[in-house]
Amino acid sequence: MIYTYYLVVAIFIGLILLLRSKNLTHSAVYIFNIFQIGFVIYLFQNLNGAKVDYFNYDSISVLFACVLSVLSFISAVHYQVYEIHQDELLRTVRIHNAVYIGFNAALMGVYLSSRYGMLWAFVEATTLTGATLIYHDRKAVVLEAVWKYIYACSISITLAFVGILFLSVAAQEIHLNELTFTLLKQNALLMNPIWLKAAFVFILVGFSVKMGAIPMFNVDIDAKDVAPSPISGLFSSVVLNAGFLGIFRFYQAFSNTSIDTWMNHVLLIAGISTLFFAAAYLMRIKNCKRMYAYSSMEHAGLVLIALSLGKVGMLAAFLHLTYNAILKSGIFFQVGQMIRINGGNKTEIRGYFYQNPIGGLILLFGSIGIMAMPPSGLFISELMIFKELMLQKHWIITVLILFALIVIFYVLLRAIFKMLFYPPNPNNFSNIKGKPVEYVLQIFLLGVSIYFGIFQNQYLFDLIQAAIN
Amino acid sequence: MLSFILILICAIVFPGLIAVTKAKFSGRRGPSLWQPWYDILRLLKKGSIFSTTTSIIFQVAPVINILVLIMAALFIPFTNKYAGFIHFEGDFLLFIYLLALGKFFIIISALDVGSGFEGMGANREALFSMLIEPAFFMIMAALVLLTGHSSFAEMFTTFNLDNSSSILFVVLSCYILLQFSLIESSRLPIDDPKTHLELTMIHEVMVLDNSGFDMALVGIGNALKFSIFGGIIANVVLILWKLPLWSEVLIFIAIELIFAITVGILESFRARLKMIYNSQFVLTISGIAVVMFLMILLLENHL
Amino acid sequence: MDSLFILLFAVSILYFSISVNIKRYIMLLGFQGVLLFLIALIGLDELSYFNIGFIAVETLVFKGILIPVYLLNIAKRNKITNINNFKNHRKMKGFYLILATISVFIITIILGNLLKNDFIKIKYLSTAITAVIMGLIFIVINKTITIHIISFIVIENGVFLMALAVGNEMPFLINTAILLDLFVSVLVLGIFFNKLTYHFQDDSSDALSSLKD
Repeated sequence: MIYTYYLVVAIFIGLILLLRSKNLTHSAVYIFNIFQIGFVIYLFQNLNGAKVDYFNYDSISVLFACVLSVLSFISAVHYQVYEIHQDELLRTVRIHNAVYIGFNAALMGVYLSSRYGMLWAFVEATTLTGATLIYHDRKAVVLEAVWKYIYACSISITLAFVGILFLSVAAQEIHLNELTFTLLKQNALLMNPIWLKAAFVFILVGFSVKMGAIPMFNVDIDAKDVAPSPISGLFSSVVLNAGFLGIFRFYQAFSNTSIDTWMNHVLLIAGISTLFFAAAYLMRIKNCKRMYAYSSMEHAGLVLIALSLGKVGMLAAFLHLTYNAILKSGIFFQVGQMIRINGGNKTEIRGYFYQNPIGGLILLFGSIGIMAMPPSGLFISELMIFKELMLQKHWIITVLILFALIVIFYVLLRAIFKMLFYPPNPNNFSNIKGKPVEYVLQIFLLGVSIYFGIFQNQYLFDLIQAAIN
Repeated sequence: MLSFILILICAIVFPGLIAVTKAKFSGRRGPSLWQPWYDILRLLKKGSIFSTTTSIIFQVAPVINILVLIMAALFIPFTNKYAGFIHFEGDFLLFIYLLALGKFFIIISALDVGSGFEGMGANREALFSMLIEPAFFMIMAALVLLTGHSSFAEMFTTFNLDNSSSILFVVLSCYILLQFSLIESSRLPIDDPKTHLELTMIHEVMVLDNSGFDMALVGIGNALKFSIFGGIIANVVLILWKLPLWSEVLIFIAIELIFAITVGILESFRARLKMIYNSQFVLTISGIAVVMFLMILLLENHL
Repeated sequence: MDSLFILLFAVSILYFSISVNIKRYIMLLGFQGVLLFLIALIGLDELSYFNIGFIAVETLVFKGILIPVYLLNIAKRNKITNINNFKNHRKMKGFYLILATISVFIITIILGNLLKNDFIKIKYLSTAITAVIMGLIFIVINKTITIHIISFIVIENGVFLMALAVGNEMPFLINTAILLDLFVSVLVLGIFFNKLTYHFQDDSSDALSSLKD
């Protein structure tokens, strides 16, 4: 079935490149997304039952694939509204939509692959398709950001490949010929820890560019700044998941060996420094898209900290990732609408609530949710993280994280109040209205997040626990 | 003793041959082959003039230089047949430090003169000598690794081409020794012996104030130094074959002459490097020598 | 025999440190491509002929010929000749870079010998790690975009050499390394670098500093 999926991807890409009308290309993307949702339903029914050698339908793979399919559909709708407003050329829209399908296919490959080499190759494909997606407006600033993104991503992915080579050296010592995740987990105790430690550091550094964490976060922030907002939303959610999966597969395979404590320490250091850098950078931001991009960095840091805490931490990490994906992409879609209504101005938005009450409310609730206040789902996952931190008696670390979170809280709240409730900026006044379909989809995303925050769904918990154990 | 005699014989021909080669490649007729020796003989008949600012060091340095060079030439063996006149364990260290002693005395005699130009030349000469030293040590260290002995004579006796690292060593060490000799004798591309601009001279400016008999000694010393390095290169090349004695003597002399002609050709087709790039160039040669040594170390599994 | 080629690879990294002329950089890249071709032919003997042939052709054609030719065209089009203006000569970067290369090489060999693995050959691994680290240092020290590209290709050559070290058991890894190379050369160089040099006529990376907080 997975090969059917890729065949359909190829057909759709070819089809879109030949179509002659913008609306037809959008319709093709919608049809593809519906097919993708159908594929995910098929995956849900066939959990852990892959019959092919290179892919496996693990629970977390399926969860991430589900998130991808839903968000991809919503993002495609927002993109159509975006490009209708900008009145783009047919060529731009065609290339963008074709590469968009390729982007989805690459991400699906990352989630579903069962070998390390394949995961790496699909992440590389994500870089290339993602860079084409970012390069939508033809401005010098955008070209600069795209160049930096593709360059730094390529170098980081090369470093991740070095890590995979070290892992393969450790595997060759015990005559293991493939880097399949299940085989790695079975033979974890036999491998030389020095090679594993070296591999882990390189893989962490390499995949950190996708997550937007230390040490390679800068290019991710720049990319989310200049990309069209629907694409920024996708970058903050599904690409972060892809980067995390690269690190998680390694951690999961070797979590019962002698390097476990060491890996936890490294992840803790990476997470805390990410959090601090995000807090430090956030204090001077005037650009709303960059602000939310740094907020994604903060959540990436929290996820890394969660991963270092053991089994409960892993559960918290996945919940955090899922809820973050839903909320952050919703916020970015709304930010896109906000920028459109304000005439393309990203830095001096004031009094948005008076221009567009529904949009303002969505932004307000979304931002309150992203700051992990109840009733958003992020509150649950952060509560789990803090509970586990205190159960493991990391007092100083808890205090440090709380301090960073307070700073971020303050900055975001101040920015929100400035953007929403200050007297409006007379330069930005325009008569553009938001489309109803946008509001519906964004309220749907907010609603899903609130639902998961209030009624903790046992099915989701069981799904994740099944993959972790 | 045989190699000492051969080195002395080749030293007679060396400077003239380099000058004639350069001239022929420039399209000139060039001086006679014995012109440098006519100059040296003329200088030997003159007396030296010593400045009042100098001390005993200035008067002693050229003599020490030439004595050191003669003594260093006694260490060179003749391929694998005859050892040098002096040989013991670790004699290559004494060899290189003798050369360094001679250079040290020339440097301090240049500083002794008290002129700014000599000081500048001494400064640069000291830097380049320091940077090129690791190259020779690495070549010697590789030889010690490959043969297990630490005396010149025994190294060349027991060196054989049974493994790939030996071929690697021979090929690379010839190149490094060529550059090393160029740098130690202060020829192009480090220093142009024909330039008369004091700000760009290195070796010539150090001996600017030497006159008469001392100048002759310096000239003989330069020829000897070249010949010594040519002798080492000839030894390294002659390891490749085992030939009867008379043919080895002929090939030894031939390699020395070819070395002289090669230096002449290299000098004709090269320009002097910018002074800032000199140290970089010298360090690159040392770097290549270090890399070669480490590679041989890896191949022999000696770590 | 492959030790000679690996030694020449390390020496080419040394020459990278002291180069000033763009043409020299590009010729060194081509030289490295040819060396990797020879190393692949000699070092990999347990793979199928088709696999070895594919790897050999890819290194020779892509790394040895196509990329240098393409970079030469770009350099000619943008009239880039020297990477520094003459004020930077006083910093003597070449001197310190050579010291850095040699120290990195020595350290990697010492560390590699402490690991005592029978399956990976130390000479491959240490040269490859030297190439990767020196590539990263070149990127940090230089400020022109063309040198960034060239240093990235040096990093890739290092990673490819590392993949060759383990490639006898897992040919899939070498194929993946080639995939990276192809993707990067075709897409990064071909498309985005073209656009970049077309828009930003100035080669220095100071032109790329308009994105700030």
